[in-house]
Amino acid sequence: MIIVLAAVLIAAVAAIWAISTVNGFKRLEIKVDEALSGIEVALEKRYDMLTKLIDTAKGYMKHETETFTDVIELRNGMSVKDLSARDREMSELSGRLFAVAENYPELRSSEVFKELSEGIRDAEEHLQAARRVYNSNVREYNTAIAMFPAKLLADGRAPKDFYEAEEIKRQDVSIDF
Amino acid sequence: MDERDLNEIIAKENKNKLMALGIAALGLVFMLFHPILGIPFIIAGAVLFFLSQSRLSKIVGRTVALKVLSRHIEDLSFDQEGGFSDELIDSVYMGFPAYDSIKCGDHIKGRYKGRDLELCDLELTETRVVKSGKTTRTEHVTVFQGPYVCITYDKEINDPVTVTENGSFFNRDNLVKTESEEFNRRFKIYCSSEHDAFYIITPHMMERIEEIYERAEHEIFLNFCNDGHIYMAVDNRHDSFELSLMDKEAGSIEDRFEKELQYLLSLIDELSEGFR
Repeated sequence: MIIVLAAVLIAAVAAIWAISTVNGFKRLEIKVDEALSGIEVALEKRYDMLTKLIDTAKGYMKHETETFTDVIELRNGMSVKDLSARDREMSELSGRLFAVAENYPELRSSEVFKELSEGIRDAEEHLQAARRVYNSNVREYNTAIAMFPAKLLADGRAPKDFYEAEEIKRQDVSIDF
Repeated sequence: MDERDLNEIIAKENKNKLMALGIAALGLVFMLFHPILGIPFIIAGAVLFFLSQSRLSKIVGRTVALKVLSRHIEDLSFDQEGGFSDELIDSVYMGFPAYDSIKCGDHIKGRYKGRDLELCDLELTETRVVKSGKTTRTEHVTVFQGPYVCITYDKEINDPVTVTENGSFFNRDNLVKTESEEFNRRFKIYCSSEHDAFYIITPHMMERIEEIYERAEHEIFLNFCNDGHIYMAVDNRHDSFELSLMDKEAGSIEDRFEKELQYLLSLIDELSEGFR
């Protein structure tokens, strides 16, 4: 009788552990997805600010042949690699724009330009925060599915990719006209 | 009031304090012969001593503090008896140990390097009932004492971010871990939004917080509030801008107050540097 009770108790504890572990994986997956959408939101905000800045700059750069009409496509549900690529494209565009704006003191001293530049800086800080949140959650998820004995229940779950954004220094960008 | 006037007041009140100590000593002598005869003298001596010290603090302490503060803080107001409201201290989660009473003093307001600044001395006390056999007694234990500082900052966040060296069992769902294991071991970050936490606690800010910790040499508490204010507290068990019983001249008081202020301002500078 005692043996039966002990067996039932052990089975119950194992079942509770299994359920909580699998739920834990799911919870971490959801956090990773939420963090990824946080990056999308931050990239969109940065893109909006950049577009407004380009429109403002066009009014001053009438003689420039550089039209800054790069098409940067942002869609919902993009993969980490795609988002990372769009992030790098925007960084490059932003770098080129600010480098050319150096030649236009009137543009740089305008209140709208200053406000939008500040907005882009803030958007980039939010983007950096979103990247860090994502990578922190990915780290937690990848660690959880790799640890024994939880990995026995990982059921083919693959580690997720970290978000890597290559920093492009503005002063290193060259402009061809 | 110049330094000479202040030194005269200090000399006069120090004489009064000596006389008060003399009266109390006389009371102790009388106690040897008749306890009841000595008690009034002891009480009178003690009262006169503390009245004299209080006068010194109000006149000299205030004058010297104002002189030192006005060198660094614009639009200055200084209230020796004032402080933050109890409601504000209760509402801003700093990770303080549990407390039952709040006492503030030396309330300073003004502008420092373009930011609105407000600070005071804060003392938090916990009332504990201690049972010893059949008797119980009430103890008042100081759980925090030191400067409590508030400065403005221009980041917008939805949820406050608290950085403290104390973990909180009741807040563990809001614990945020950074990329730095060393930082996570030393400090606990609490925020219900991971994004807001990472937005404020950047790698650069983490370095500045470590620097503040080194400079403060005592436990620190930080709250980046969502109302545009940062609250910082340092448990250095010290009241700022207070006269000591041994003060003899205004020059040395001024030097001491200047050092205390520089200590606080250097911590504020580190915090501001975190946002550059």
